[in-house]
Amino acid sequence: MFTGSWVIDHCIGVSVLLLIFTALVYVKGEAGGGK
Amino acid sequence: MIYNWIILICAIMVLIYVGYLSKKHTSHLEGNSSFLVGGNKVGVFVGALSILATGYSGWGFIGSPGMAYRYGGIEVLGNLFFAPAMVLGAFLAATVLKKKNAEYASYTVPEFVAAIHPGNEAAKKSIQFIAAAVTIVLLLVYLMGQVRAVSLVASAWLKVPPLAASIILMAVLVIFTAQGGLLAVARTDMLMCVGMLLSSLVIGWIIFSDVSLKEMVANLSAQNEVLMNPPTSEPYGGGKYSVYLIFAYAFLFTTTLPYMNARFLSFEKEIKPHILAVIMAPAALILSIVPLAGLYMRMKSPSLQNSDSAMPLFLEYYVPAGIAGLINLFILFAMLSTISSVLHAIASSAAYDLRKSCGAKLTHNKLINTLAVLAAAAGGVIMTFYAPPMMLNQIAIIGTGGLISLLAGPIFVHFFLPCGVWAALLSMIAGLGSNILFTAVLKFGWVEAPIAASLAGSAVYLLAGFWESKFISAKAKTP
Repeated sequence: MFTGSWVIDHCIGVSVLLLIFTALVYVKGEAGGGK
Repeated sequence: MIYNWIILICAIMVLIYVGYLSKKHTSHLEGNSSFLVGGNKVGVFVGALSILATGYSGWGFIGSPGMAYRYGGIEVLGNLFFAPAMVLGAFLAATVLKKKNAEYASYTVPEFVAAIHPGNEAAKKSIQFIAAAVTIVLLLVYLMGQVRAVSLVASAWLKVPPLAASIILMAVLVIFTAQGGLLAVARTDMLMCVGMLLSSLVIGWIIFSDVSLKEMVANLSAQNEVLMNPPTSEPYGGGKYSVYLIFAYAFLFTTTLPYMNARFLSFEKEIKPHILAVIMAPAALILSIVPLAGLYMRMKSPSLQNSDSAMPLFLEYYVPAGIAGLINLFILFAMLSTISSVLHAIASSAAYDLRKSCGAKLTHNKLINTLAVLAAAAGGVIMTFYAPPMMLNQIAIIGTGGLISLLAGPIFVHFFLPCGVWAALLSMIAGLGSNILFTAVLKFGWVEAPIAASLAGSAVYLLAGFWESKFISAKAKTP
């Protein structure tokens, strides 16, 4: 375990996934002409 | 105490001024557009923070740290699931609802649900009427819980009786909601959300300047291994990963509840959903820091009698007095931002949807909208302090989950597989009925019941939609 707690590890994982998702959505949105 | 009154009065003046400005910006619009959808002037920044402020009620600041104190890290994870669910839900709803509503130009969620389902006019009116009536009943009971919470926090903060505290704050909400409509609600929500974000950052800074995450985990695990490595998701279910259901719940909550998704109908026409997601994601993660205060208090004072006092005691002992006063104001803001949206949703359903679905002439709109906001606020206060608790407890069990399951099929499934008006009507009845069955009879939890009932409502929506398309196409082919 990264922090010694599976729940805190999952918190970090979920946060990172959310940021990656947001970055992809942003890149795709801008590439599509910002619509 | 005088300091608390001064900052509250300053905040009240700002909120009422924002309401006045919003009224000024939409006063040229005719009809119901200004009150119901803010003249479609809600921009991406205001919209993003407004959705978050409404979604993160006082629970995030008081209830959730208390639960984290009692149950440990599982509450931090459970609360965190609101962040991705709300971002994904808002992104999807802003994308789909924007396209749909460009076609249908609805002012309210019940009207939108009726408009997007083609078919019999009487059935469409029934949809609008049922959605509005259930919204009013269930949100009034939900409002009662919010008013109770805000009156307790404000009464302790301002040293006045709870009834007086609730009347003062509800009067402020009525003034800016009635004069500025949804635009005032969204703009004041945005200001309140900025305060909530600053509070979260201060709370995080105080915790992590004292202890690292690993040290906190090690300390709490030494107290009780179950706190940070629970074998179950208690209080969110018996399975280890049942807590993940909160993601599904929060997603449905964002996309289907009228006081949340009315925002999507009020957006500017040229709003960009991906920018909405970019603003919401980091802000939602910042708001998710707050429950860590409960873990910090568990580490510092493991024997509190009442876990709900974790946040008040954290503010009293670990935050400088002046800043703690401001954070208390922002906690009140977290509750008020939810209440103002709920008030607006109830008033819209009463003043617009019920009248329209009953075929009444839509005249004297401004007066009726104002009276509806006033009546909703007065109803919330009267029910909180004077209604028989037994009667309300029966309705409270159904809760907002009833509204989610009522609308999940006709809104959420419709995004992917649009069906007709009878499918929507049957799905609403099945969704709400199964929610009552799951909560009142089978005693499902508040997370499981709306998810299961939404699935039931969605299944009925698809089955009835299939039957409807067959029946209608067969009838159409008959010479």
